[in-house]
Parts: sequence; structure tokens; C-alpha cells
Amino acid sequence: MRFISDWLVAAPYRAVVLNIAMLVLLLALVDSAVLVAQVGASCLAVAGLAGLRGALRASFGRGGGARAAFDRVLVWLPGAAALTLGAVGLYFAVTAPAGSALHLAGIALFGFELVMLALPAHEKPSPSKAA
Amino acid sequence: MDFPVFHLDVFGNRGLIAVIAVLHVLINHGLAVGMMPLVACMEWYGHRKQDPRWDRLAYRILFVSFLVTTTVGALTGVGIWLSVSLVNPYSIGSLIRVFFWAWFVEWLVFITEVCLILAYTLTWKSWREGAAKRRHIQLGFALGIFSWITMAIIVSILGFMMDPGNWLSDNTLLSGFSNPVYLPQLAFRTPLAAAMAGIIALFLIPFFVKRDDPFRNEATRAVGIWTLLFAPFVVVGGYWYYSVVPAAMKDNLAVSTLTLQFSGWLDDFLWIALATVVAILVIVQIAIKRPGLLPRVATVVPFVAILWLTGHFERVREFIRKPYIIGQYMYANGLRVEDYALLQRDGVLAYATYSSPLTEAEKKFVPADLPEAERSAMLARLQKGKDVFMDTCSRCHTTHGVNGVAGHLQRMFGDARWTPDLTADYVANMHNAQPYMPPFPGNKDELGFLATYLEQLQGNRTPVPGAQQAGIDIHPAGEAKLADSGASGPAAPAQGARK
Repeated sequence: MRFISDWLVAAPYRAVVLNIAMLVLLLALVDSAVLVAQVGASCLAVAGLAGLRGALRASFGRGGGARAAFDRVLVWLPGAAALTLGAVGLYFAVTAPAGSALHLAGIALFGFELVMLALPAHEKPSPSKAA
Repeated sequence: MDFPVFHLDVFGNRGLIAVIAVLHVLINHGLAVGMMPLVACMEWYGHRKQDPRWDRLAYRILFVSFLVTTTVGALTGVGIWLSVSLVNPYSIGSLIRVFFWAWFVEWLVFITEVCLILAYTLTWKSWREGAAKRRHIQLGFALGIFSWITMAIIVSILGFMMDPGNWLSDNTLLSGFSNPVYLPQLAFRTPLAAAMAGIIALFLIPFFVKRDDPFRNEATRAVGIWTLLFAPFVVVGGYWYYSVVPAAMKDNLAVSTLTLQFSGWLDDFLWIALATVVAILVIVQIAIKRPGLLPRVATVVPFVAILWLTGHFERVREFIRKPYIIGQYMYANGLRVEDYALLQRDGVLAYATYSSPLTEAEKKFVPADLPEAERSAMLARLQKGKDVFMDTCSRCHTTHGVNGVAGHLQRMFGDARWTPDLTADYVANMHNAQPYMPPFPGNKDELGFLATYLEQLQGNRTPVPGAQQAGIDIHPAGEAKLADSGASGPAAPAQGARK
């Protein structure tokens, strides 16, 4: 247990990913398209709003923000793509028969995109000049 | 019928064009149209940030593109001209007549593009600083623009082949150029080329930047962003393109995607294609969010997938157009729609210049013990049947090879003897049963000749050589044409004389 908790604490996003994985597993087992739709849409909405807040802060924040066009694209595009693909995954998860390949693929895609929305941009840019 | 019939009886004539043309599309989209702007952007970004690592990476990717485009890319481009001229000179002749000035301009643009890529690559090491560097970056963007312009011109011709639009009534270059499919197809191909370039660059980065170099993650993320940026436009452009495909051609989608044998699997195939696209996007997203987690082998997946998807799209695009090679104007057999009434009255052989001589294997169909007169008549009938086959069927079909007629007859009639009574009615009505087949262009007699020729295929599996191997005979109708045109000099060859 100590090993697991140390491992989780080592990088904060790991707990989020683990939570998402458990949620996705539950949704895969639940035989209710309505519940999957409601929970899934709520997750996407929360993740989307959190991502929006982070993107706005990164774009226009007091610390200078992302000024260059490329930096702005780096801030907004991954989240937009993840939200769109997450919605696609949720659509298939809700409309396909429970247990079918399309249903499971949709759940998996939805889960993956939730992880993409949850992960922070972890790495800092490397120094601009080579040593 | 005005040209000797080039024929590849095992691989098929379509296969020759397909291999050359698909290779050309993969190279020009992924390594020219899409890659040159990406490389120019990398060079510009590195110059702006004063980071030589971007410059080094851009140059290395450019060098790979330069090598491939100026060798295989250029060869396949010329190869397309050669192969289509051999396989279907009538269609390329029509297209040249319509698009002469467009192709002339495209040739100028292409020559400019070649000069630009030579200059861009060869001056990279010398135009390194200050104003020279800025000029070099401008050269890169100019190269990207000219690459796109060549595609923009050729795409109008491809769109014209699917739906000539108003050209069918007013026959002008402008109406042909501005066909209904042109802009949607261009809107699809432009972002597709850019996304393809991004995926290829993603594949190349691990070869040029060491794993422990933090710049590798930075470059992977940036190229991933480039790819993801264009992805939605591929979807939107693709939808727009699909919406303008003529409805009758959409009915060919199943066969065009998977061939007749597997056409029932279209839905499964579309799901596989969708899953492949999603897999590409997932890997690109990982490249952006967690580039350090992406092993080199993972970039092979989107690389192979995008090449497969694009190549398959080209196959679908070409087949879906059938029975036409130029929509509503010319069938895939090279015969014009408006000429059909004449041909079906007089017969195609009345207008044929060349004849494809019978092989020894084909002659064996006629029993040797027949009386001479009967044997000659039978051989003449068989010869005419072969000429009808070569002139009207062989552009798309082989005898026993790829898309072989024997295979189709076997599928339909099994081991029953393929007598003319059995096959002639089918041939006369096949365009009703299979909408991608053109109507039979000959008259009733020629239908019988063709059926006789098809009958001998049941026992003769020897490949049929084309004019490039077997030579040609001048057809009786061709003799008359030569005489009418006043051919002088060496005496016109006697009927049946081998060239």
C-alpha cells in the first residue's frame, strides 16, 4: 500500500488517470446507455471547463502568457481535439449495443481523451540554444 | 482503335497505372505539397528563436524529401504520362485537348518547383546568416506555394474526369477547370497533404534526433501540433468532397473499396478505416502531450496507416468513376458516349486500324481436322472476337490475370461450357447488372465474335500478349483508312502483314 501511495504521490496526474480508468471500467460494465451518456457528458463538461480555464490562464495570464501564435495553438488545440474525440467516443459508447466492439472502443476512446484533458502540459520547453 | 493495343495480361493495364500513380500521389502529397511548407516553417521558427537545432532538423528532413521527390517522385510523374498513353491514349488525348493550356502552365510551375527545390536544398549551407537566411526562408515558402499550385492544377483535371460539369455543353477550358468536384477535392487534398507531411516528419524525427536529447520531445510536440491542426480540415474537406460525388458513382462505393469479391464487407471496412484514423489521432495526441513516452516504433503505425489510407482512397476514386473514364463523355474502354450509336450500328471493327494477331494457343481452339474453308472461317471469327476483346475489354480486363474475364465467367457460369448462347446475352446486358460496366459498344455480329473468343478462354490459360510483344497487323478497316489518307512512300503493308 505504501508503494502504491508513494507511486501516486510521485506524479499528481497519476491519481487522476487511475480515477479515470476506474470510471471507464464502471461505465463499460454498466448496461445503461442513459447513465453512460449522463456521466460521460458531465465528465467531458467538467474536464472541458477545467481545460478552458487553464487555456485562458496560459494564453492571457499575468506571467506573460502564450504570446506567439505557435504557443497559443499549443495551448488550445490539444484540448479542443481531446474534447471533440472524447465526444465521438461517448457517442459510440451510448449508441452502440452494450458489450459490442464499437461500444467498448467508444468507451476506450472516451477514457483516453479524458486522460488527455486531465494531463497537464508536464514538460517544460528545452533551452532554446544547444549546449 | 487508332493505336496498337498495349496489354499486360497477368498484372493488368489498370495495375500498371495504379502502382505508378499511387506512388506518385504518396510522394507528392507527403513529401512535396505538405512537407515543403512544414520544413520552411521549421527553418523560420528556428531562425526566429535563434535555435540551430530546428535548422539542422529541417535540413535533414528536406534532404530526404529532396532525394525521394527528385528521383522516384519525378520518375513516377513521367511514368504516369507513359503508362496512361500506353493503356488509354484516347482518354489522355481528350484530356490534353481540353486542358492543354492548363497543363502547359502546370509544366512551367513544375519546372519552377524543381528549380526552387534544387536552390532551396543546395543553398541551405551557404545562405546561413542575416539577409541571406531570410531570403532562404522565403525560397522555402515559395517552394511550398509552387508545389501546391501544381497540385491545384492537376486536381481540376481529376475532378473533371469524375464530373465535367458545364463543359459537357460549352466545351471551354474554364468550364472544365471549374468543374463541380474541383474545389471540394482541393479542400480535401490540401490539408491531407499537410497532415501526411506531419506524420512522415514524426516518423523521421527519431532518426535525426537522439532519444536523450530534450529537443526530440520539443520537435515531436511541434510536428504533432502541425498534424492535429490540419486533421479537422481533412474531415471537413473530405465530407464536402464526398457530397459532390455524383450519386450514380456513389453506388459503386462497395466494389470500388473492396472489389466485387469482398464488397459485402464495406461496413466492416469503413469501421476499420475509422479505427485507423482514430489510432493515428491518438498517437499524435500522445506525441503532443507525452512525446517522451512515444517509442520510435509507435510512429510506424500512423506512417503506414496514412500511406495505406491515401493509397486506398486513390483506388476508390479511380474505380468509383466507372463506367466512365471521363464522366458522361468517355467510357473506361476509351470510347466516347456519343460514338456508341455509330459503333453499335456499324461495329467497332469497322473503325479499327490495328488487329491483334491470334497466338498459337488461341488457334488450337479450332480443331485441326476441320475442312480448310470451315477452319479459316472459324479462325477469322476468332480473330474478330479477339480484336473486339482487345479493343473494348482489355483496358480493364485481362484474360486469366488480375480482374480476368475468365474468373468472372467462372464465378457466374461455373464449369458449364461457356458457349456464345450462354455468354452473349450476359455481355449484352452486363451494364444493367453491374453499373460500373460500360455497355457493349459493338453490333450484334461482334457480340457473337466476342462470345466465341470468350469460349476459347475456358480451355486456354496462356496469357495474351499485347502489341508490345506480339506486334500488330493492320486491320482491313485500317488499310482503307491508310489508303484514304493517301499514305505514300514505301508500299502500304499487305493485309495481315506483321509489323
